[in-house]
Amino acid sequence: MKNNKFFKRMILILIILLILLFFTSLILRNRLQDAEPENVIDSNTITAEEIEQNAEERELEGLKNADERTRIQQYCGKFIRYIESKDYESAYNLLYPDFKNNYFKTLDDFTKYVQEKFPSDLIIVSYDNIERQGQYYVLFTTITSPLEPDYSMDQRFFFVENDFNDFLLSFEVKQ
Amino acid sequence: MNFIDARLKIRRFIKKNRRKVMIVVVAIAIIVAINYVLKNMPEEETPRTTYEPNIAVMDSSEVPEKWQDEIKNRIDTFITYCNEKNYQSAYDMISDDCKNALFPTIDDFKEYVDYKFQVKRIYSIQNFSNLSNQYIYNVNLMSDFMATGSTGTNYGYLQEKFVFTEDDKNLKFAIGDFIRKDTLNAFSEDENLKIVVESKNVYYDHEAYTVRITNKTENIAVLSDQSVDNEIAILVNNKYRSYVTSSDVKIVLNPEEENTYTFVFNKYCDDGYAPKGMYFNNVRILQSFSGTEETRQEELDNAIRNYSIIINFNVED
Repeated sequence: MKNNKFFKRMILILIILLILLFFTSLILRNRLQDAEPENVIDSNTITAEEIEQNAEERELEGLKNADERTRIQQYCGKFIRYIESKDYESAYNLLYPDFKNNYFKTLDDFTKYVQEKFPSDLIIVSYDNIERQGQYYVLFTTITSPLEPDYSMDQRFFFVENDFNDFLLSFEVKQ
Repeated sequence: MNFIDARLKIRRFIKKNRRKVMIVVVAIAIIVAINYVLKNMPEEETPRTTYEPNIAVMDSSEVPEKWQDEIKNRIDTFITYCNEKNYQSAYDMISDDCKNALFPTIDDFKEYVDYKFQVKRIYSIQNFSNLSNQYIYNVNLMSDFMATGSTGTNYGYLQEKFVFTEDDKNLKFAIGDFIRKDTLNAFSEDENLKIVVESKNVYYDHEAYTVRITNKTENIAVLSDQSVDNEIAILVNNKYRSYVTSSDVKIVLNPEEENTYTFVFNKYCDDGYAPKGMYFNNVRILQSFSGTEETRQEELDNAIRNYSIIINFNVED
């Protein structure tokens, strides 16, 4: 009888301890997460892949805190950066499928067009205006380059955003 | 009861009901733990936008949640039919009143579709204004710029109002800014004229009244020849609002003639005012009427009667 009483008491204490432990671990984990500086990585072990991953995470965090105008401008900037860095394939992959099909059936078509119409280096985009039409955004820009003082092109971009950093675009094709 | 007594009572109670107390404590702990975990679970974030398609631009009222998906789907289906030139299916979606007012035949509707859907359209919707049981949406019809980049065209869109009316737990659908048809059957009759305001078609920014006028005399009845202001008007917010017409239009009835007219007045359906009546402010029963400036005074001098007729609508203040 005494043993039974002792056993019950022990179970009660154990349950209380488990609950306390659970709470403490949760609280500590949250505090650690809050306090931990983002993207602190041991410089001796960092890899190119990790750098890229960190950059993407930072970009995503930035987008999550941004309003819709800023996000769409950043998407436009991303597209232009790909063109600037001659990563035409990545830029091509951002195009809306029907738009690709209508104007740039192959990557070569797109590359040829971009090389012909956009500055070859240092592209500057001025965001003149933005309009929203339901789920679509229309971005009015002017493209210039400090290396080509005579160059200036008004360019309309159209965006649809599916999720953070998940978007498709089309643009007015100049003849 | 002192503190020690209370402590002893509590202790005795706990001892006596140890099992029950334990169960209660564990249950509370579990509930608190689950609550804490759920509260701290990371929410799935989606891009924040300022787009609120079901909140009215005019007064921030919201379309009832139970209708929001239905409205979205109906607009989508209608525009899909129009894009596919499936005239009959699209036509069948529209309310009878709207058909009668704007598209009495399928050919009239075809004209509308062929004009508005010359190219494939994508669209955006925005709740614009809500009346008691009517939800008015602005619908922007755009060329499929995601597919074309608006290449070779100017970026722009056609806008019109689509209206949904709650009716016996269903939604009636109207397009072309058509809001509703009201039957009025308000009339005035004297020894000279009988005027019946039969009905009105309410559009977003104007009202079109169907008015039947009978000249009971053996003389000429002139109701409007643009000689003075507000010859035919409605009273809105204690101000006359004249009918929309051109300078060469005359409302003249020969002896014993009966005619039905449509008088259009500018008025926004969501301005909060109901017209109180229709005013015929310059009714003339004449022996002769030439319609020219030169003889006007002479004809007036010989008039049998020159007076006003008011037809009140039954509206509450």
